[in-house]
Amino acid sequence: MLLGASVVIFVVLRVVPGDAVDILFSDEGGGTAEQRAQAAKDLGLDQPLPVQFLSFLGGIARADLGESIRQRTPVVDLLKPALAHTIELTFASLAIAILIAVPIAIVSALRQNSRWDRGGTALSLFGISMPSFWQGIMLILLFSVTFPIFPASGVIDANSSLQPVTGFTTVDAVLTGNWAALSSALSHLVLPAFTLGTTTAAMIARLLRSSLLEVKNLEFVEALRARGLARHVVIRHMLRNALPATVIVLGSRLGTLLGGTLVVEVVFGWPGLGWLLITSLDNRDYPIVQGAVLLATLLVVLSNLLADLIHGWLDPRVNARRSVKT
Amino acid sequence: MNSLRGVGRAWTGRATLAAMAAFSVLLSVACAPSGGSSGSSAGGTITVAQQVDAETLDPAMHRSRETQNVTRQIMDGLIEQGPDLKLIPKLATSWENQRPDYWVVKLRQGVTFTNGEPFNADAVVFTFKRIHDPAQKSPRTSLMPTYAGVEAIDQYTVGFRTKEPDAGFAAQLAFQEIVPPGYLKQVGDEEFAKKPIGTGPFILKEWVKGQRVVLTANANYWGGKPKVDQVIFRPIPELASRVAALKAGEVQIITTLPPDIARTFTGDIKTVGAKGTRISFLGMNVTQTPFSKPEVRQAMNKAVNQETLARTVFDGRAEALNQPAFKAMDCYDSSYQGYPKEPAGAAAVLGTLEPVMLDVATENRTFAEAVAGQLRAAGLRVTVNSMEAGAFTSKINKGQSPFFLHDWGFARGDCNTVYTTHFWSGTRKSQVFTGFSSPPTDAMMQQARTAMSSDLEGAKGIYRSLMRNVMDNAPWVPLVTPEELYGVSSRVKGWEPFPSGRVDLVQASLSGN
Repeated sequence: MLLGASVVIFVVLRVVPGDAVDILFSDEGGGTAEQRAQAAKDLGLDQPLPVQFLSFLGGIARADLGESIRQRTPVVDLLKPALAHTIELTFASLAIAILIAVPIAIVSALRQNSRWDRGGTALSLFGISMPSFWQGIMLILLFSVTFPIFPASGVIDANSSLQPVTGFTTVDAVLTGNWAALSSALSHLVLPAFTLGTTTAAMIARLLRSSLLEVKNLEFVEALRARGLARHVVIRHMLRNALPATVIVLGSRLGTLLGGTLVVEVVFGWPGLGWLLITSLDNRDYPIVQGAVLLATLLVVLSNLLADLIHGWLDPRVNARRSVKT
Repeated sequence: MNSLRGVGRAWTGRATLAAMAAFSVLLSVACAPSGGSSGSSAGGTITVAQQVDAETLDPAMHRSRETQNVTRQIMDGLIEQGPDLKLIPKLATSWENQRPDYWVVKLRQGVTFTNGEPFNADAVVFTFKRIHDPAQKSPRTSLMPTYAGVEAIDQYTVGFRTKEPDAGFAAQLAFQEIVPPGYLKQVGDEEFAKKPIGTGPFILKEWVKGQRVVLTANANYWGGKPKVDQVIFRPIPELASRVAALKAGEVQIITTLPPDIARTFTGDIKTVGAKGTRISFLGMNVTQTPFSKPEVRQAMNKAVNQETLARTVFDGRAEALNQPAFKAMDCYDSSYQGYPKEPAGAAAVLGTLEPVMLDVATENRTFAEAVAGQLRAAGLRVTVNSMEAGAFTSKINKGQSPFFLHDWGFARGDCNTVYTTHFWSGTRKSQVFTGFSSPPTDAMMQQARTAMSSDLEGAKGIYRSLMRNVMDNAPWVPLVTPEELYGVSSRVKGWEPFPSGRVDLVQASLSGN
């Protein structure tokens, strides 16, 4: 899959109009034919495409994704912090999404066709339909400009003096005991995570509601109730049966989630993978784009794997069936 | 089912409570004071939000205005370009075109880099030789097209050789910062690009890529200590977010402000503008129909009303152009009246043409629609075709666009650059644009370049003839030079924007600290 992705991104980048040298010399002094040819040579863009591709593949094998055309920095050094920021934002948005979605799904399922259910469904539809960039800007206007509670953009206050350890801002703040930095990092995280989280929340709420509705009428639920189990225990059992399907679908939708970070990161000036990808695409900085897309592909593969593992953990029948087959 | 409803109610309550509790904990931590963003000392902190982060902090290795806005705070150039485009001494105290192809530059004495290394002729020679060393692979060589070499004459005097007589060479020196040779050799290129030092008004404290560049005032700056204690450059790519950050007081200056947003600023936020140095124009490919006919190109010039465009699209914050130069340029001819505005007369030609498509980069789409509206009023059937900037650049470079709207920066205000880049046949090999190529025009350009170093008034006369020659051939419809607009907090005092887009913060101060 990774090889396929690398071929596709390499070819697509070369097929779309626009190239790095054109853009580099697109202003002020321009550039003579000789200077442009020299720049292409310096950047290795004068080589035939198959040679460039093989060099790219060879680099991947050595975990060397090349050097940025514009920033003259190893791509790996640029991807590492960006990846940490994206993962941090994604996890925070997932946490918010779960906090919002699970209660809505439970209420909607248990009170099917009630006002609560219709309200929850409408809210989910609104969450899914709302464009992230619009929602992000509205949240900024409301919570940063009108009521200045949260910062409009960025990751952390410039004067927080946070010593990097892992690259994850909140984790580093906790590890170094820098509580002011933690507070700053969390306050910067709220709006982008909420923006990203609402779409995910809507998705989870709809999926979980459907699964809960299926489970609700199964015999074992009635049996549990007949045995006099406490209400919250019954709900827990229902959730246990409804969650696997939700987790699997969520895992397979992670690509969409990553697409969402692209927009949210640009709106909130969040220096993650999405932002890096967008700014690099503008400059046709091929090595960064190739590296970022490859990393995103890897993330999707890993998230599917993780979803499978969680599925197995949530639903013992999956592991049991696998054991029987082997 | 009734019992399940009961379960539902109980769980609804618990889940909602749990969610609210978790959310309120998160909010309480997140909303707690976080150390203050404006710095603690008396001079305060000015935060500037730009569209993108610095690409590198090595002044030899980029071609980005945003990058130079940062490097220029840390390192000085020999010469500065003032708000009126006139050259101002910085690390150079004087410069003289001693021979047509040789410039002598006297250097400021008693200046040191922030590590104590002396600034002298060796530093200047090292800086320019490094840029033009093929092994360095610097993308800035084409910004000094006539540079031929540099040498130290004595400890505080250097000589620059040019490939041909170039009276505008000193302006080229305004775009390069001087680096410390000893420190750079000691730490190497890679480290220098992350942690540079210079003779500038600010010292790099921290650069967190993608997040911020933090600079502190250089107390020993040769030009006097800056009034603010700290300057922070932050990248905020989205315009709406930049504006919100300014309104929220998170940043004090934002760059790249379009006029339609600028007009909305009131109260604590103001718009500050400087005369710009970008020329926008309609380019017509003279090798392709229908623009291969001069009468069509001339009719286009009659159909477009630049004054109206400047007033409506740019809210009056643009200079209408009737020639390929703006007023601050030496070769600007104020006696030239331009094409008469006769849309009705132009319609006789334009109304007979097949439909055409106006190519434009997405960011200029609104402007292009306004221009297309004027052309439609003159009978031309035109549709606007907007495309991603990179794709647009490649298309016009390769000469694949018959008709396009573009803008080009001329920060040096140097006419030679305008004509060489856009109307000289030699450049058409690498950047086709309009495909315009004319031996008489080439000959006049050569004459003008030569005359510039010996007879400035004579050169101006040649440029005037050259301009009329180009306008008669009409490969362009010159449009406007928009102002460089910034959103600025009213707390910022003493700050003046530059036409080249450079943000100079030495004199800036912050009220209310």
